[in-house]
Amino acid sequence: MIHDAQKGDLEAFNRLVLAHQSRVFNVALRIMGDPDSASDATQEAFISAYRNLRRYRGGSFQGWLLRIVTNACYDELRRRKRRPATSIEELSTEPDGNPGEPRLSLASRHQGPEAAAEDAELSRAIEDCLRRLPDEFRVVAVLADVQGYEYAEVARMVGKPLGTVKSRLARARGRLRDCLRHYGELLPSSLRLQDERA
Amino acid sequence: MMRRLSDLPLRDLELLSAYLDGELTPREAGRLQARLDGEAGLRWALEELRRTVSVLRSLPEVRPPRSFTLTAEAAGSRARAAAYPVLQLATALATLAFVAVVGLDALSSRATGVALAPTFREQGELLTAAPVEEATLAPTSEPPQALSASAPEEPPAASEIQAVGSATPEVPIGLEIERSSPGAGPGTATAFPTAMPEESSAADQTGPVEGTPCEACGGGQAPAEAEPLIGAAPLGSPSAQTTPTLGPQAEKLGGEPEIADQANAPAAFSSPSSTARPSLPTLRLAEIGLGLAAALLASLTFRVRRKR
Repeated sequence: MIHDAQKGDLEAFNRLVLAHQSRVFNVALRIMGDPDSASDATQEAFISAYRNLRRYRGGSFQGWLLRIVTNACYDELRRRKRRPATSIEELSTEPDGNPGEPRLSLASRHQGPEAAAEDAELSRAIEDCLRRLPDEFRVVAVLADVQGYEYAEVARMVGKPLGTVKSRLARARGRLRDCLRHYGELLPSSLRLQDERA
Repeated sequence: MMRRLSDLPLRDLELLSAYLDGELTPREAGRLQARLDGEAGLRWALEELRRTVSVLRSLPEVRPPRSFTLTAEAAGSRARAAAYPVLQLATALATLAFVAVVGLDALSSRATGVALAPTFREQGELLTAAPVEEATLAPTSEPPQALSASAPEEPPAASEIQAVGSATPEVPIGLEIERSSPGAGPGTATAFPTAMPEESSAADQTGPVEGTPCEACGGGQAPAEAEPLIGAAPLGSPSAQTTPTLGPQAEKLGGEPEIADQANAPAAFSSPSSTARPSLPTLRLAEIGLGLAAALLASLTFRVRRKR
């Protein structure tokens, strides 16, 4: 399929898009923090992938796609930093959205509206904490912890040395834990963070 | 007591995080394990990191709001995107070639102008050389006194002619006067108004020259009649062939073929430019062609860039 797509077969490429778009979109969503920006980044990433398909030299195709979408997200985040007024406004209004209307169609792990609402609350708490991280920490945390990629894969995706990835991930986890501690009551008991007992 | 994970030494935080993911070397893992056995704070930190990772992993996959498959239009932009760098390069090359041809044209135009000057100088040398030859021949047919007598009373005019013709100053004035009218012709058109009356006056003084082709040509006495003079010169050639046996008048006539020869000088003048001229239209055509190509490619590149 990849070989056909490299020859210019659009249908073959679109089959690849359908196979990978969920993962690509989710990475973009966790990095960008809102579905609209994530959709834009995802579309941009697939267009970029199609244009540069000849440069793909084997290996994990999904990893290659995630590297592209990560770069697309970085580009957008840099653009936002150059326009801080817009960015701050977007970031300050999003967490205050109506909690009764989840913006994302979550694939609930539980049955029932109450459980779904709790899941949505938890997701919002995690998203909020992720959003508070510096961009380079957030990207690593999303790829390694949210998506479950190994350090080496993450290093390839972000184009940084393994040591940098380790360091960023450790600090990202530390900050996330300190942030999530404030949402203790939202967390399942098995995951609830504990205070240290000296 | 509540404590922040970010308060931990960074090195410990990194070790714990990597230990959690099995990314430590066995040696590092062994050392950390020993520390964990003895330090409750480290054990707590490790557990908090484990829970944090579990919380993050609990984030559900979100269904994409739409399909991201590419349309044919978006796919078309791939070809445009591929063509863009090629077009950029082609535009740059066409522009460079255009500038090079324009520069070449400018240089060749200057070179042509510069090249003409030596040619004029060469022609001038030819013109001055001819009277010298004439001067060597003249004594056989006529003494120099006769020549000088042909224009005895016009020293100012002779000097004037000499100045106009810019010939070698050491040439006898009489010879200058005799050949000044045709010789100065190629140099400047202004030579004719001064030279023609000179010759006519000299002819008047020598009398027998009347009725010769020179009279016919000199009859007009107008600068515009320089061409008929040149054209009429060969008519005198039959009589000119008898130059050695003729007197001073014939010597004057004998000058006519030379006049005719040197009257061809303007044609020789045009030869450098005539050799340069064929290349100029070629350069101009190349300039126009390259200019148009560069403009066309630039507009095409711009359009492709907008549609990308």
